[in-house]
Amino acid sequence: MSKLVIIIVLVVAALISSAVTTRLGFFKFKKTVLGSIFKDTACQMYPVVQKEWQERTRGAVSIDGNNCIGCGICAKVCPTDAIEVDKANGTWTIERMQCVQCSGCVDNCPKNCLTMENQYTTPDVTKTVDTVAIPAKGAAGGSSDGDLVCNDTCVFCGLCAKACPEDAIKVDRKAKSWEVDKEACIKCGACIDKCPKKSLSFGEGGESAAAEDGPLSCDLEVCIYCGLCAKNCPADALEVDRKAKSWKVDEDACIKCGVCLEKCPKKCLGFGSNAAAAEPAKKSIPVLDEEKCVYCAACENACPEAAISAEVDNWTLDADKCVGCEACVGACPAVALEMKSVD
Amino acid sequence: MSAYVTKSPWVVHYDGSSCNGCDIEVLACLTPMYDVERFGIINCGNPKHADVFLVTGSVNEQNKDVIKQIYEQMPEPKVVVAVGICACSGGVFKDCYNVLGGVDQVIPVDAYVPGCAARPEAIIDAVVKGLGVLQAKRDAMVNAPAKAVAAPAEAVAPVEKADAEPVAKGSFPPIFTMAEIKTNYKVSK
Amino acid sequence: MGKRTIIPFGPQHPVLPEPIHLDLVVEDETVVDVIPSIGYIHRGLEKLCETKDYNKMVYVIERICGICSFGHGWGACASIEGAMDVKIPERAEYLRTILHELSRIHSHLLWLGLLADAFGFESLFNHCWRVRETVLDLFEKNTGGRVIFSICKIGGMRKDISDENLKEMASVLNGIKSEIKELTDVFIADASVQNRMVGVGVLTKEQAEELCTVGPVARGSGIDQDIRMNDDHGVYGELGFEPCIEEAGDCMARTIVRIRELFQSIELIEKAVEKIPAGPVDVKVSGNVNGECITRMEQPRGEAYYYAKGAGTKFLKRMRVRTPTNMNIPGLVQMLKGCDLADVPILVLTIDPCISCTER
Repeated sequence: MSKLVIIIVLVVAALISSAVTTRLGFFKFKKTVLGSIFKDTACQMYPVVQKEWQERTRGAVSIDGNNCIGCGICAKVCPTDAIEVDKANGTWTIERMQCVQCSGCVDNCPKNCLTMENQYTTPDVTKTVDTVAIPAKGAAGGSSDGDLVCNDTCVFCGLCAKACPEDAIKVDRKAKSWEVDKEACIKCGACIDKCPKKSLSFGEGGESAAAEDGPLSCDLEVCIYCGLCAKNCPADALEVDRKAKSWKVDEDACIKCGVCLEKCPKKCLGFGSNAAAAEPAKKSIPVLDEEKCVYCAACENACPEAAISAEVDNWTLDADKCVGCEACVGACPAVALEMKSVD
Repeated sequence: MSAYVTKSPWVVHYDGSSCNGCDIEVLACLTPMYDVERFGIINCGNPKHADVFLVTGSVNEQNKDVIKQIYEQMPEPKVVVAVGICACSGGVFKDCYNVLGGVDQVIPVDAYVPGCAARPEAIIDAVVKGLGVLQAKRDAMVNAPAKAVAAPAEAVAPVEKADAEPVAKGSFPPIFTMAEIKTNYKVSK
Repeated sequence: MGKRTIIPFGPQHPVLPEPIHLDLVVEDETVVDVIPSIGYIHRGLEKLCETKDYNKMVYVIERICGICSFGHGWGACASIEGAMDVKIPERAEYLRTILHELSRIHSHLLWLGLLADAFGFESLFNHCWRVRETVLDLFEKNTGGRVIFSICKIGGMRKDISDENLKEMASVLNGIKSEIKELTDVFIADASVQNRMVGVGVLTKEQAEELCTVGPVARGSGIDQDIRMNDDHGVYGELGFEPCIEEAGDCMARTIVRIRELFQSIELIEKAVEKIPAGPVDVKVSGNVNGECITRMEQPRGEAYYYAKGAGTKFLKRMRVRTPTNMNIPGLVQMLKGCDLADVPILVLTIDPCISCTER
């Protein structure tokens, strides 16, 4: 009986004190404190229980030594200079107590041989320095001894200089000069990948592609003087006048990049002997579908040769003047014109 | 008692030109997630109560004297743990005009913790390694009582590593006999 | 007139994790004057811009401070991007805003814990930091690091964060809201805490304006200023944002401002996660910096500005960072005048000092 009274008194006292403390603001923390008595501990119990890493946790850098080409980009990018690459002796060294785990080296490695592991470097009584063997000098991707060279297929487009992470290549398109700073070159091979003419390699010059002999020339019988070659020339070496029917190339400025060959709709361009191989295209003239024609005279306005006369119910074409440039076909809103060959 | 010095080491923490990253990770070791108080480690503020000196951040002109003073106030045996790469070697700020380098430019360091910022797990690992060194130092003190009264001041130049080997875990030396205690007590007075 | 003594406070003391030295001129337990002496954390890192190229400088600026690390990384990247006239994709702006608000949550939780420790409430300190570990786990999952993230780069972000991870972030934050509410209720309503903080360290609105305080210190004294309102960084304009202002100017007011900002940040993250567009997270940047740019940012401690100037080489000519605690120290000196000696740790903590930011 007395025990029951004691229990009831205690419970009532607890309730009252709880109400009082809450109202007066005393011991507001009791909910959290009482909760943590009965809940599981928040402690992760390290080192008894090992930590499970997240996917992206940055711990320490590791290298796949076999694929390393010793370019040294990782050492250049490192903000604390923790990495040292000795290509001559074939070693890649990292001072673990200098690495800030920024992943800069991992992101910039051209061969993707660096990985950021989740596990951190173990603390030690001395400053840990790890050395990994890498292929010395001649690595996968470059020839044995060799500085970077460029053969005569080079068109001085300058893409190699743009790709170089060390700014070691200097290309002057007008002067047609290409030079590499051998000390700055880290032999990463980025320029070799970028070169459109495959003129670059380490060591001896690579095989030349079919050399384009001779200056640029145009087969004037085929040429329609549309001017697309001049518009696309990166060296501004071409001059085309449609009315005067003239086509001129400045051979000193021409860098033989071949863009005009690609752009020409009539394939009338070529270097030296190649031009003769182009097929002379048959001449074609526009033919009108009279049912569609609305006699708006857009074709007459578009024709550079004034070969069309678009009178109402009287559309005529002067076939001698027509050069087959197809400007009228493009200008017709009713799609009433179609090119047909003369034969 | 030599067996117990590693059982509950007290820690004093000082931030010498750190960015606070490693400091909050040191404080995070005390909080419920990592809870080094399980091991009896307390972050006391007083160097004279401490066994382990946790230093974060590099040494610059203004705080090199402070670090030396705290180190000298600590009683033997003591262990210094350099937390974070700034304390190990200067880190990203190695080339700054005001930074002299890592903590080992001023005081001898017993354990280095890599990381920027050093993870609490790594700090716990390093303190445990430091405890091995602490145990060895304590043994050296016990076995050669004359050394116990040596002056603790060290030179400013980078100091060589302590040559004592960490004692293997579990192999604690036997507790003193009464005679040994009396002898030691006499000598260290 | 009582006798005056000078008591040195710092640089090594158990309350504050950072070294700051204050000479407190004390007259019978009341502080009458304060002479601060800083410089323990000065590393001189702004000069590193002459020897480290602008990409590496981002790593250096990130490490000015470990607590406001993301804000510094963002500010450095934004000022260099401004100087190079680079426009980053929309998704990158959203990600930066989300991570910055997450950084604000972790910083305020850290501060609440340290404040509790300063007035002796150790269990509250432990609980605040326990909850903060959830936020740090989110950081580690998305960026790879707990303290220094290294995820901002010039041109955007180094890694993308998937939409599932973002939704999980929002739901985890929603889940800990009730726990945070319990803890912050203790700060606001517990009688022992109120005893220590209400009416202590009053900074009137006029004093705060005159001393150019920034951040929650200014907002706690009634000044309506928050750089996020200007909408020149991040996507705050699209998320709808109002600053939290309190009038009282004492320690309690500043605490309430930070607590309200904590909950506001959780809401901002939830809104941003719903609105974030798909797309790339970076643009290719090449070339050198030629020009100058200032970016202002609302760090958890207040307004920070970042100035980058380049002269055409890969090294910046000047990188200047002005951090908020720099402006709040005069406010601290004003608050300390006339307070009890036992209140000094609390007042020092109430401006949320980040000495490593101040001294760089």
